[in-house]
Amino acid sequence: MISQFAALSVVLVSAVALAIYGMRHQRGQREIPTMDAPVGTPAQESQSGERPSPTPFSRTHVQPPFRAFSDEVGRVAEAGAAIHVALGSGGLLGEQGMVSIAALQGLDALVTLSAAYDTPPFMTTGDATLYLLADTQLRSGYARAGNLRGYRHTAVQFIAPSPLLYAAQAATLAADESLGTNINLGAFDQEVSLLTDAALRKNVKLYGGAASALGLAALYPDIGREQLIMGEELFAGGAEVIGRSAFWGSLHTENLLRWLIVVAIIVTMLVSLSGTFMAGGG
Amino acid sequence: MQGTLGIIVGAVVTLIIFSYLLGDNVLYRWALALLVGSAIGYALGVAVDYVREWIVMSLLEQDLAVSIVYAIPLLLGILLLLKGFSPNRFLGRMGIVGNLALAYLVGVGAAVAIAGALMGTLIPLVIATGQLLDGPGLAAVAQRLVAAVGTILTLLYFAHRPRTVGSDLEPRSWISRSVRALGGAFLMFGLGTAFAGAITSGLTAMVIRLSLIAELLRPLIGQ
Amino acid sequence: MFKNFLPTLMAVAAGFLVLLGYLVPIGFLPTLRQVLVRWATILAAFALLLAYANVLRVHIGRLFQKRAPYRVSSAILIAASFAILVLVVLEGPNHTLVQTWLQTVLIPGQSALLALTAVTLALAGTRLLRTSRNLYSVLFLLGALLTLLAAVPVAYPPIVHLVMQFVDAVATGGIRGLLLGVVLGILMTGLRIILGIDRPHSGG
Repeated sequence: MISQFAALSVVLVSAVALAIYGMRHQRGQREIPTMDAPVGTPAQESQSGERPSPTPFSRTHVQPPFRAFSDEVGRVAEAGAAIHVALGSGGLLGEQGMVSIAALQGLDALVTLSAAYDTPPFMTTGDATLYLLADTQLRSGYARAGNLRGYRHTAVQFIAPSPLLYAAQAATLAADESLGTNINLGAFDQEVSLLTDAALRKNVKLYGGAASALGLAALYPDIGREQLIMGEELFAGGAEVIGRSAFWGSLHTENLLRWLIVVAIIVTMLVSLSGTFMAGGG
Repeated sequence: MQGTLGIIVGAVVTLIIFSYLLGDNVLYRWALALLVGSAIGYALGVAVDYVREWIVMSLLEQDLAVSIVYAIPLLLGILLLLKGFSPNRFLGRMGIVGNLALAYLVGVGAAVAIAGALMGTLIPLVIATGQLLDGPGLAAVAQRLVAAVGTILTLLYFAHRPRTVGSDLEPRSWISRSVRALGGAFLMFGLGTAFAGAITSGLTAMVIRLSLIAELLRPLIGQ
Repeated sequence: MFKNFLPTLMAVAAGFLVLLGYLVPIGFLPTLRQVLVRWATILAAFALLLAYANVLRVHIGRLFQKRAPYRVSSAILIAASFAILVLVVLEGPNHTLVQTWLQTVLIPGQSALLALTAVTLALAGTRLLRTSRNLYSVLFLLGALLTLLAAVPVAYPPIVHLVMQFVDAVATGGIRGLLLGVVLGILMTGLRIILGIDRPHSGG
């Protein structure tokens, strides 16, 4: 019951903070009193807070990996190759579902641009519900670009219902298709090394990101720090690419909660110490 | 006999999968296709079985209210199936109605994820990190202190944007720079241990597979 | 209306009720939560049906492509999936034949793939050793090396044992910090959906 009460408190604090930071950001207040404020304000975001334009390039400050995703569309199209986006096996009904949704938001610019140029990426998933979501996003990108007729059903592919089989089978795409870039972004564990290994064998350019330690550990040696999106950074993709106030508000709320967690850990430490001393004194 | 045959089949599949180490080849692709096909068929079979059971229960139900409870997900499921049609056809254009069912999945998934993340990870981790005096001796306290400091620094590492463009976004103070550097060090060291763990689990699987093959070969080589 | 408004309403209502069922376990809320989550699992089964249609579309398409490599692979995949599907639907998932197939083919195959990752990871480690020589990479490799050494069943002197415990503490700190950060991301992503701010179900 205490755990549920604490969780409810965190949810309520988060919701209130999200509303406040979101509104403040929407009003264009740049100075937010957070020591670790990680974000700049979008340069050309409309005052209404709505999505400024289909293009994500209206931002002055963008994390390089997210910006690079959309840059890859042009580069790869010029080379007559394709982009493979591996979204992992994070189904919507599990804890990893939010990781998958965050990954798709980080890919929004890539999807929009690909739809506009009618050069869709191969998107692969290892979960049926995630397949539907990715399909909906790509289809929506085509609809926004006014090119729904150009949408191809096989651009998003469900590969296999198990992470290992998914990674092994999706890795064969690197050999079969003429790929220029491979983006492994989503819920991955160590099986992602099968994907990176296959891509490296074909000299395909690699980007990636994961939320789990095993996934990151497998990605880091081949991708390096600069092109790797690590843990919580993955959830910043929406803010970086889509740029709505709610996304920036989320990042500020995360910072607030971060400090609350630090305080909670220190308080627990003090309680733990004082309890022992009191027991010793008694 | 059946057991031996099973081990032989398993060993053959294992060897074909291992052949990938020599390079991508046709046999590997065939074995992989067999595995993927089997996994998809099994998962779908189980899903069909589950839905069939649900439909049978709904048909047997006498109470109208309970029947509705059974019918709603089936109705949503049918709406979801509309998303499978090409957007160029009439049924495909109706696929937008399937967004209702997808939205339901997303909404429930969000709630499950929040509850799991808070009650299954956040609260237990904060408590576990804060408990300094769980083991005997000063060394145990020191270890827990190191882990707690590492947790805090790593958490703060993510508060900074290490790769933002523009000087006004870079952390300015030496304190924040130091915190980030130390947090990054804890994180990379932790990832290194996870990397070792991943290799160890892979090696364990390899040893198990190879020992089964060796077991199979033993009578053949007369040992 | 069907594109945005009703789906958003559906996501908000379903998410809110399920979350309430978890966080306020009083009255009918936990039972309602169970019912709603069960409905979602039924929907996930329908999603698998659509996913299978996608698999068939991709692989049947490959069968009829003239220059498609590995056409036999697609044929094997379709045949295997159909055979197992029919078997499970007719006989049930616990039928002896189904279980024998899983035990003799699927599980050994997946286990072999897991074993393959040991090699691909080791190769990645050696590439890192060759190409990247910054401090973070050194720490990464040091963490990996010390953990692998600790896994070797050798009777180390007590001081080494103590050092290993501190190595464990440092790694625990790093991983816990990562996990807590991810929890914050999950919380905010989920909350945006439940508050109706974010609409991934309608394409973003």
